Amino acid sequence: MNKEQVYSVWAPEGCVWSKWAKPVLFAYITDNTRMLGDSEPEEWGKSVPAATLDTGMVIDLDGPRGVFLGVRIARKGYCPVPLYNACPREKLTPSPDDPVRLGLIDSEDLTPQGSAPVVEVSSIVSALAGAADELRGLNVPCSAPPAFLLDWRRGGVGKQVSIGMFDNRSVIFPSDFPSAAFLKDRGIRTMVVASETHVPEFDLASVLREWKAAGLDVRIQVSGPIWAPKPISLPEPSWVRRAAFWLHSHLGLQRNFSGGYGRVRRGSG
Amino acid sequence: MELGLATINNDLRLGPALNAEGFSIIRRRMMLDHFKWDPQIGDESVLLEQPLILSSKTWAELATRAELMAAEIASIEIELLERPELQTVLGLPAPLQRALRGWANAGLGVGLRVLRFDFHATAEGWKVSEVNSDVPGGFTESSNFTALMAEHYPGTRTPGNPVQAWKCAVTSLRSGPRAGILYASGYPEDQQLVSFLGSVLEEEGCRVGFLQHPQQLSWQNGWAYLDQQPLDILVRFFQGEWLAEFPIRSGWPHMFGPTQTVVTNPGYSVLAESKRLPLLWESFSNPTRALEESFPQCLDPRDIESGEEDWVFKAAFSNTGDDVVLPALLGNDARRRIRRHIQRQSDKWVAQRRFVSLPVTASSGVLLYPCLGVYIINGRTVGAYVRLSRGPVTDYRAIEAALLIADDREGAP
Repeated sequence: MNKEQVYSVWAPEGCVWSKWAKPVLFAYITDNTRMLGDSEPEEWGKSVPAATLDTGMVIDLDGPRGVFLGVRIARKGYCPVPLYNACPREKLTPSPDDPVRLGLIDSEDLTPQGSAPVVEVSSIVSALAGAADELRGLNVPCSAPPAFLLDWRRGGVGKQVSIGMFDNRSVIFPSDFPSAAFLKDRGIRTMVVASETHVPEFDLASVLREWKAAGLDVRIQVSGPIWAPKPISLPEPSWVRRAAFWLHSHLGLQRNFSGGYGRVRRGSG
Repeated sequence: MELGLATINNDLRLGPALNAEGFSIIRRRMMLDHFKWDPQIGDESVLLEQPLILSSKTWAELATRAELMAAEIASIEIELLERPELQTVLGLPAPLQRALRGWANAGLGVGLRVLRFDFHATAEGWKVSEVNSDVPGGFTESSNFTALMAEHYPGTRTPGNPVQAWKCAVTSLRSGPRAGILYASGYPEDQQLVSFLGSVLEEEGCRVGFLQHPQQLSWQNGWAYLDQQPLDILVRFFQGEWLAEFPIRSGWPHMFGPTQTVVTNPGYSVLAESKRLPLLWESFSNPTRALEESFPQCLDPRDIESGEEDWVFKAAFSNTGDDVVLPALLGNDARRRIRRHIQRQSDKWVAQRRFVSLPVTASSGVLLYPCLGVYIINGRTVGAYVRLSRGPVTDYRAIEAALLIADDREGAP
């Protein structure tokens, strides 16, 4: 499948949730993109109950694991919606004299000038491409509740950033998701976060806080064998935390590279 | 030039919505082929399925007006470089002022300059809210989206293709150049734009390298080097005032003086980016008539003693509506806080008299307020970027539309 076909599988025409699907990773799919299959244990995700029309999900997992779980729960009636927002590399296709073009290196393994990305997302590209055939065959109905897919490492968890690296870190904002009013209008009453940790990252927490304030029941489920989402506590962040978020998303990017690539929407005029 | 109310009411409208299937194809092509990676904000599509249609007469008037203003800016920039005392009024950070000293008596030389004047239809005629002099954006929307929409609207034409004009201007400087594109990380709309510009240059045989930090460059005899290779062109998609926050040792000041590597936009472009520029109209010996007629009245915030609801307060350097304050929309507490903040830093802010924008009506019935960004490349009008807002400020929530010109010229088919 080419990039248009893969995108059409993940964001099918006529599906209400498709307009939120982020296109950037799909734009990077080429003939050279390798397919990555689901390598998680067979039992993983089996405890997720069949979809009901009043419950949506946010899958905030490490790298391609989000894609894998997204497909597994698509079998149970959810509509996976990729919200991956980071660039894999700076150029869509490598330069003519790049080792990639010469067949020496896989295109997903390097960026031009050898600058390594802070967040490795090429495996997510491969997983999206690799899962497209199966997802197409599932024929997820347009009425299916959404499962928004995020990369838990989007903020550069555990990465040291240095000058010359391709800084593709990202943060998400409430404007990356449907509003609580839209979700409720579609019959969604509960949003369950499937996460690597008990506490959502600061950017996701700000989204969940808005949903909760608007009356949605927001729960969290840490990746594991038993499915028992718990109500989530989302206290207002301290002023230190708020200041850190503001710096992270507004100022730090230029001053000390502590920010990231995300919908800060404060770019040039 | 008369650009009055009647002209606006008769000549600016939203065209009919493109059918859902046709628009969906365009939206997907923009996302997958034309670097439009932020097509949705909350529940709203960023791209409007209706084009904004302008009469050819009014477009010609706006284009001429923009070229006149660009010529005036070119002359006052030379004056600003020769009279550093005026730079202080602009609220320009001191490190930038020091970096620009290298231009004194150097001549501006051959370069590549892009400007975008943001026009608004108002009750008093067309007004310009600001000039994007340093790092104007919106290229893929104004070029590709406009071209794709135009295919569906016979009897109209595009106002130009800014990115084609930019590409021609770049390749006319040096053939097959090696180019560097410097941009700030953390901004998706900037990432998609520089990726777009990079691909456009590569199509023309340029070798393109990207960088996110000025320290990735080394400088020798006016040439910028990236990966030990000299650059013919350095595309600076990084706001001047942001670069000035880096340490001097990162080498950013090189970009703001005369160079052998063509830097675009040149460093002195940051001067006209200041929203405080209109405070200097009377200080220039060069003419500023077109600028004065087009911009609303501007004052230093300290000179606003009452009636502040008639004014908009803008930070000297602000982008996409951030740091734009309308006291009329604020509660008393917020207004007091903002007033204290602005008065403390009044030399970094400007008060611009509010104008009443005229809306157009979308097919959904919603009123939208258009902002027409008219691009100038090396003195010539090359196209336009349209944003439509639901309120009086054009900010990041604005939606984008194609501007099409009604082919109503005499002799048009």
